[in-house]
Amino acid sequence: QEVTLRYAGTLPASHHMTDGQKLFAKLVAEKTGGQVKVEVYPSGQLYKAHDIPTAVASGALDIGDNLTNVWTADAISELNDLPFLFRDARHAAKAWAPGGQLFEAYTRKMAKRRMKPLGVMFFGSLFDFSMRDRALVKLEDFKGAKIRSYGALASEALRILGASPVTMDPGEMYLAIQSGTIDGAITGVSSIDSRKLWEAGKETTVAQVAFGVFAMNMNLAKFNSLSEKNQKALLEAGREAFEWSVDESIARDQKSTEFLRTKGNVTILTPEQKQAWAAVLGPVYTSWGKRADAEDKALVEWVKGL
Amino acid sequence: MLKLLDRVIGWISLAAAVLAIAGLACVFVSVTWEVIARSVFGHATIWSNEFSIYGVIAIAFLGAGYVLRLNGHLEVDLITSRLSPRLRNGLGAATDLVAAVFCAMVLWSGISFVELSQILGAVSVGELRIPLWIPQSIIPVSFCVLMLEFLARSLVRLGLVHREAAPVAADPVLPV
Amino acid sequence: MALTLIVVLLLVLATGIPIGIGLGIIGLGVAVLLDGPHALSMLGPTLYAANNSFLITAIPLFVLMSEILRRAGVTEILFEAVTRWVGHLPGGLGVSTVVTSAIGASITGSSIANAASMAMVAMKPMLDRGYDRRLTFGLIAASGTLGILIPPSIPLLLYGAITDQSVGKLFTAGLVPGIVLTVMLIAYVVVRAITDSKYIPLPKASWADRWAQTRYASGALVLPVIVIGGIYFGIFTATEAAGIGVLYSLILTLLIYRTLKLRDLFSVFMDSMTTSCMILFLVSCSVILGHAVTTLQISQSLMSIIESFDLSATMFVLAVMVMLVILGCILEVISVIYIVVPILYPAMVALDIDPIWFGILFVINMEIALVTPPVGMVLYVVTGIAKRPISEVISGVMPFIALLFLFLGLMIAFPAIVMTLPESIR
Ligand code: NA
Ligand code: NA
Repeated sequence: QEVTLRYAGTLPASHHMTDGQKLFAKLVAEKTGGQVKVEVYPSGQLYKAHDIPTAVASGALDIGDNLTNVWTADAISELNDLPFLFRDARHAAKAWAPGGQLFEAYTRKMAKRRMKPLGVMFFGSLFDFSMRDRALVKLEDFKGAKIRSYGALASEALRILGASPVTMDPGEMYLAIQSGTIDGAITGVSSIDSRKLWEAGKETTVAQVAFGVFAMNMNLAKFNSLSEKNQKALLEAGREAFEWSVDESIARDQKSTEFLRTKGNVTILTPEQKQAWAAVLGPVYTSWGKRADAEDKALVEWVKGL
Repeated sequence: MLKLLDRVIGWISLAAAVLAIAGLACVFVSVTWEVIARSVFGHATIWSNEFSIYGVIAIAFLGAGYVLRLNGHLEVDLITSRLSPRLRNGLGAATDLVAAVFCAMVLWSGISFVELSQILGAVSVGELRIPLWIPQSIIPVSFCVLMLEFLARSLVRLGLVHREAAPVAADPVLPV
Repeated sequence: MALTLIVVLLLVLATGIPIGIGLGIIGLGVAVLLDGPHALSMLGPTLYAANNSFLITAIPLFVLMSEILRRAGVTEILFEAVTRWVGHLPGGLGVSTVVTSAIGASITGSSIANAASMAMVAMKPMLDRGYDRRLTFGLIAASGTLGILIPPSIPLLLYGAITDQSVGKLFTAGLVPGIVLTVMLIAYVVVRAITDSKYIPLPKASWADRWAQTRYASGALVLPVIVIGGIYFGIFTATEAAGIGVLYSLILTLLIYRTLKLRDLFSVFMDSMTTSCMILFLVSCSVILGHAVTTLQISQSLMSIIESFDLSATMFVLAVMVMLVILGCILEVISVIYIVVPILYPAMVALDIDPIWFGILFVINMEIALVTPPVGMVLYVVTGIAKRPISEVISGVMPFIALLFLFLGLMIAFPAIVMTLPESIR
């Protein structure tokens, strides 16, 4: 029998994550001989980032993707936000590859939440800085800076570094930086490029403190209702989309960084500078550790050893 | 008997309205304190943003039952105001019952939402990590109150309950 | 498809069901038709998430601010001060009404609140001094509508929240057009006064009196500087400006003017809560309909119509303006925003229409909607306070509607009037 699955995303139609969704849909159609059709709804038009997990778990939506960290108490979902856990994008990709320890553990946790991860998609660098008038290199540079933050661990990290985290909707960032309401914002280089933040923030610091990983979660009951052959096809398509997204996100980040160089100053942190930041950010691991279980902690060690 | 029921419903929605006022006070205090904390003490609070959003949700929903009692929800009376009183009340009672059914659906959906949220272990994105089912409970509670108010208003429109002058707010500011 | 949905909406709303509930029912109906009973389970999450934006937080705060100022009679204080300066000139009281309205607009986000305050303060003095009844009603209504054009503005906030545009930019963009409209209204009332000599000018106030009243009013005059200046110069965001505005209003009215008593606070909060609830409840329910609009892919079908007629951006804007005028006659403003903007926005982006400029055109349309019969909230407010037949107010408003159309035409023809200031932000 034929099945149609609705797949919701939160990023704009022009974003590579949306291309990844479309690629996934195409791969599924090929691998199932058209038996499973995936309809893609990008840019949050169906559900906003925060509603997607509920929509998937309740069965109102078949597949949805969003940052792993946006909503649950599971410490494993926040793993991506641990500062400098991943040395670079390739390292992060290795850690999240389907079949690896991390992905398998994540799949087990999500089963309790009534969801089936089909794979993950790579957003790219998520934790760089677009600043109005200063590069952030030494710890003193953070002193008193008002910086737009996202998520709990990022805010915690900012506080430790000596800055004030500020909350605002993404649409407000541009003007807030331009007018000096905030000194800058945490976001990935690709967003600094696409949201034109460089017009307001002349100083880009490529810190790569964290990488964005979007989980492609499917409603578990819906997944189980599919034939074994189709299940396998979905997982294969998920893996191929993952592999594509890794290369694509690295290429895009590279391209955005080059572009930003033509528009303002770009500072790329050296490994030593990253180490100096990481040394200070230890408390973020401690507070995460209080919420994590033994398996989560073992995963961190496993990732570090990769 | 029906009159007592109407009164009790009125008290319930007033109690919810007082909570909504607390929500408004909470929005004001959180937003203002955040500005002061940042500009005077140089650091941001971890609770301001979250609390102001919970406050807004309380205003939006917990106040709705009381606002209905004041006949304060926006309605298009272009046609209904031209009908005979009998017809108008009949139509009004019917729309109130339909609205009550809608509220019942939201109530049901809200309860399962709160349950699901507990299964998901959903916590707020901010640093407080508040279990989300707590603020989310505002939805089922509010729509229960609103459903009761719609039922009560349909009784009034059917002439089964007579209310003394409705408690109309002095002269409210209109929205736009 | 879009047309069918709008017609169904109008039919359902015509039954007199609360608008929020009506939008919710239709949204749910469409979702159940498309997705089956699963759709029901999304009611709770959708409603909860509807308010999950820091921007929306500004709405109850701006409402609270205008309620505090209204209770404390701040409009009257401003009117007295302005009248001392211009009351003796030809049409002076009319000019004073317009100017006070413009200042009032910069401390409230609502045209209805602005028009109501002005009607209570300015109507009697104008009529006592022999101003034509129709002119008085029309002028108060029209200048009252400045409330949503001059920042802060609740409709602009909602527009910004739906379209993900910067509210700071939208607010700044409303300022210059607001001044242009103020000048047009002043010019109109002066010309009318010169050609019609029935009115009696006020005696000229002494300089001492002028300065005394102005000093007294200066506490209130600081407020727009804090709110608009604070946003423009980047001291705080729109939401924070609203919070600081409330704090300042409380200090001003409780401690300096002492026209508000501590015991009034509960009812100030109660009324602000009910007004905010009315808006936010409708906003939340409209999100359910928003889902339906998305799933029906109405925007896409609208785009294909635009493509098949080969409509240019200008033609599209004009067509939308005509549609808004029609909808504005029969619907209340917030409903128009929530019915129209989510459907049109994608098409606008595709046609490369500047969303800030369009937002201002939209709000000018909503100003017109507020004074066009049969559904015009400002008309109702002025009628209620004047205690005269609504037909008299409507005929008084007619020339001003023409003036508003002229103004709208200017803003369409010269986008630079709108865009220069927001583009200048440091
Ligand atoms: Na205003
Ligand atoms: Na109208």
